[in-house]
Amino acid sequence: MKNLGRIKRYIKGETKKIVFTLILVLFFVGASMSQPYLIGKALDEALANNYHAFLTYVITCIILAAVGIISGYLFERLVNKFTHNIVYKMRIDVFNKINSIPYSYFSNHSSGSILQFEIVDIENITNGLISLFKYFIEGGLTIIVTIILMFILNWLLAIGVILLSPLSIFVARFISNRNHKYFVKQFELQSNINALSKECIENLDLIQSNNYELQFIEKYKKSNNILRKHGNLALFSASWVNPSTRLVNNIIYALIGVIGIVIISIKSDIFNNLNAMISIGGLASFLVYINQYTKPFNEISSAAIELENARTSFERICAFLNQPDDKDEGIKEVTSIHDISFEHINFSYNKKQSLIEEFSLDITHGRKIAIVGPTGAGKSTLINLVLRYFDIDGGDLKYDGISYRELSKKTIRNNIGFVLQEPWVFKGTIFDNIRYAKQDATNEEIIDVCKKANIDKFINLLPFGYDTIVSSKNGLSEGEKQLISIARLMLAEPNIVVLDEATSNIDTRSEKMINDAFDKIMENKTSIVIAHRLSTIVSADVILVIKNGKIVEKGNHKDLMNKHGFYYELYSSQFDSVS
Amino acid sequence: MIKRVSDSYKHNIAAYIFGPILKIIEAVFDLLIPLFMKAVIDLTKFGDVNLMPESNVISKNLGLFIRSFGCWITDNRMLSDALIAFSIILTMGIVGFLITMITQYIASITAMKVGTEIRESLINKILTLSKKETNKINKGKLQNIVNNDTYIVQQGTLLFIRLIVRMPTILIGSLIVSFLLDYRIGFIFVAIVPIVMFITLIIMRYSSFKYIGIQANLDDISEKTSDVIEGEKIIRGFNKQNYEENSFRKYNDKYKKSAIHVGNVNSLINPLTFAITSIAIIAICLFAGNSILSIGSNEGVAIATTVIAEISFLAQISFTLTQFASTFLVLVKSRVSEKRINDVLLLETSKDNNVLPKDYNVVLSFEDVSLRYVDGGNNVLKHMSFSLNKGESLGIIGATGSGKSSIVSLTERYVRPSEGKVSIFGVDVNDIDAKVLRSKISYVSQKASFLQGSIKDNILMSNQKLTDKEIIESLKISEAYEFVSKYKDGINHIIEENGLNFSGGQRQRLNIARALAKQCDLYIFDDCFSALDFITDKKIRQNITNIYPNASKIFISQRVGSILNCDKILVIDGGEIIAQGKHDDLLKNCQIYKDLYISQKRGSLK
Repeated sequence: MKNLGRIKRYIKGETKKIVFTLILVLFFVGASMSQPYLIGKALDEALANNYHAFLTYVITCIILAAVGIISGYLFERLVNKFTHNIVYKMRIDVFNKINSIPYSYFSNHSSGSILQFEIVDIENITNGLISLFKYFIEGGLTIIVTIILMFILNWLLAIGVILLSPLSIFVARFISNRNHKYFVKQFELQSNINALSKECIENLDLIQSNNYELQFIEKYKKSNNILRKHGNLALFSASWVNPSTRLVNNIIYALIGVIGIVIISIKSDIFNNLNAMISIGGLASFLVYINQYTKPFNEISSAAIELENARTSFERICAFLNQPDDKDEGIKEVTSIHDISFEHINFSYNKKQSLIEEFSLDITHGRKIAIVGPTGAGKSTLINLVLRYFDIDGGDLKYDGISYRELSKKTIRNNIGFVLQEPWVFKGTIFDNIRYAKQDATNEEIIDVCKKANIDKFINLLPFGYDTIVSSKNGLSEGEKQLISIARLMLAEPNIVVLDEATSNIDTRSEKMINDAFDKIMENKTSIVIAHRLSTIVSADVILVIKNGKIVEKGNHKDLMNKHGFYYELYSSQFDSVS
Repeated sequence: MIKRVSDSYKHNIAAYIFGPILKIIEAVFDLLIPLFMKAVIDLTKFGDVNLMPESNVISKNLGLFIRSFGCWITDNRMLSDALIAFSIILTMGIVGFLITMITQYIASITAMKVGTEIRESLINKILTLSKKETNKINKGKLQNIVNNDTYIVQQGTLLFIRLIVRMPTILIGSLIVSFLLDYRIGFIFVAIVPIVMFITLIIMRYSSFKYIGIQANLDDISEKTSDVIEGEKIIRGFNKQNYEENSFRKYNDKYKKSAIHVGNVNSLINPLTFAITSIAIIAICLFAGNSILSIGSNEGVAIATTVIAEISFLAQISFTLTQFASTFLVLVKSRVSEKRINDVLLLETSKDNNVLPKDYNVVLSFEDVSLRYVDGGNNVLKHMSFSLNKGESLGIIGATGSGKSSIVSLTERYVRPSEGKVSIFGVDVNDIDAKVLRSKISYVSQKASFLQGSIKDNILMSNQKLTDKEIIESLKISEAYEFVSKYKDGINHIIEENGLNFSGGQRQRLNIARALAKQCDLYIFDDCFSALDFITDKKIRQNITNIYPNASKIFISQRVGSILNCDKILVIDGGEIIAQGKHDDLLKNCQIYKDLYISQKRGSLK
């Protein structure tokens, strides 16, 4: 088992609790299961007119009950405690892994599947751990202790019960297996209909504006009815558990009871010689055991499914945690970076198809570099390299003349501020979202920055202005999210600014105002700008036109226009409809 | 279609009555079985019914019942009694089981029926909701109501039919029987049942109350994690890993703390139940022992067998009580969910008066209209007035977040004006029949969205009567056929969730094709051209003018080029109309418009 190390690590610090738990469960099961035995004994002593023996048994029974109560309570408490301690550690581990795994992991895995580790899998493990102790171990122990006590009471009847046990096991397994199958199916159909409801609610505008309600309901009805049919089966098959447990109990109860009565009543020497006699008190205890006998079988069989789920979830989480961390070999820290130079850089996302070959470029202090080119040319890839989300395959990338290998990622990123193509807004107020760049910024500072860039007008139209709570899915259009991201960057005031299509969803006038504000802030600072809309970049010191990972043209706006090349073409196509 | 959840209960009233009633039979059998056991032991010990003590009424009667089947084994009366009793118990067990399974079946089909009916009615209702209502309830909560609350009510029905009668029958039945067996023991029962019931209920009530909190904590963890996954680049770029870990720890601590707290409280249930039943058992034993000791072992046998039966009842009671507590909770939860569902089903959707459009010259007019989505919050639109004449085109231009799209929401009546009056097709928008209104408007949204299905399915949405040829025709108008025709399966090509298998521009062209497939009086294009390059933008607009020359059109855009030919242009800023008129006038009179134009005009840049 290759994940043993991890298990050890998680259990570490909990070992004492776990050992103690195992001792407690022994006490609990022993004390609670011996109660019927003692009661039976007490009754027998009463029937035999032994007052003192009777009293002794009753008092023992009281003491054991107390032991059972206390150990039972502590047992459940401890299980609860260490389970949550363990999964707490797992949650943090998963979370930190998300922050430290190489960025490329996110390109190959959906966010839903990563989220599943943190939520579904860890819940499964929690349930599995609790089932393991509360049902598996306790239930198993209960069965063993019951069988032992039954043998002490009467071996013949005990053998009878053991012979009948397969009935309990069979019924429990049959039901839980069948349930599992139907429930998987029902779960699938339920998620299906949930997805359909979600589709309906999210696309309400679309459906309403097309008067498509009736057709949609027809579709919904169909899925709903399929769910109903299978749901019937699933619910019905699950409902076998209690009645059939009662039936099995009743059968065993009647059978063993009657055999017991026969033994008592016949008083034959055969039973005596076989040492198989049973008293009335003994029979009473025995019948109690039988009543409780089937329950742990049911519990264990449903716990088995939970354990299995927990095991697969744990393996999934381990596989995620065992991924190597993002390499950060550089240790050098610097206080400021102003220049960036690419030296014969090669890079590709997958090893088969190279994207950037022999790319060289010097970006010096205070310059504004613009990168333009068709989709898929590798513009954003350059940004990914500069910000060190991906490692270059060959060549060197230098910051103020120092190779990327020597600098820590942290120090590089501390010096570069950016707005990326897909703006990020997290759940919180507008203030929270902008303050992310500078934790100690005051509200006034934030409002000031927004005013400067003419962003605060739209914020004031939100229901509660800067205090409106927004989230990634609620409340803001893509352009508005970009505005927030820009405000965030302006607040940070970094040495180098990277803008990757930062204003693609913003109207041109606002864009111009933002750019003017940027130009003021960015005086004497280095900037790299990628833009689809070329109006943004005409003022750049150098414009690079990139195609298939290579620089095809280079120069300022005027030079490139005079050249009548690819840039000219791109530029002309954009203003076609206005002039 | 039901108006409230209870309607669905009424539809299945027979199941709610007969299902539980059938359960009584099994419950009674379950109570009788230990009594038969006692009777047969008593018979064995005393040898005959007449020899039993007078007080042992139940055993006497049951003994007579057993004997009434005659004597199966003549040379051993006792063995015969035992066999007969065994057969009776077995028969009761099996018959009880079969009858119960009928109830279980009724419960399953009724639960699913109720769940299905509620779900369907909810969707029916939701489809009539306006934007203001969905804003108020919020879409996430609506989804929860359709998916989770319906499920909980379904579960409530299931347990109700299965257990509502069984539990009291067992509880009251065992109380009665223990009184009949021995009234003194009966009192012990009367004392413990309410105590156990009270304790389990209080604990479970408390923990389920807390459980809602835990669920919210878990939601926070989930939301935090997905925010972080989405913003991973930004987090790394800002070096915020430690900050994020710390804020995650806060959520995780909170969750752990409350989960352990609830777990600890729940840990009380089992030991407390065990404690109370132990007290009862020991009390019964002490009491019975003392009686046996005082009356002697011969008659004492009857008391001993009573104890056997009583302990058996006690086990049933404690099982039933825990079941009762959890069932009670599901029923409480179900009531809460029922209320949440009813809140949606009973939503007063401001009724329209089904007024049909009149002859009109003005297609759309706004008179001093203001709008806010949250009562007491800021206005998104402020005192807007304008009108659009039949057959003319209206351009709306303005900054990101200036409120342009809210104008469409009012026109389509996704929302109603908070103040002022919106008239469309000659009728107040509040009165017009919404179906007719929407059949006369074709709307292209800013963000292209699709339902699951093929390109064809999605285009048919707007007009079910289209032939494949016509679909292709509308794809051609929106310049989409050029890429659709490249697929092997053509218009049957599947659109994946949110259209992610198409580029932004392609999605928008499909979206436009769908809107153009619908023949109507007013076309609204809500900033749908900005994802297209200028040439395609121009071509599509030309196609539209050629094919629907007489229809009225509204173009909303950030691009001056897309609207400059319109008969009237509105310039919106900060939720207000700051200027309206034709392109040339605006260039002269409106600085913002001029700025916009200049920022987009070739050669005027520097």
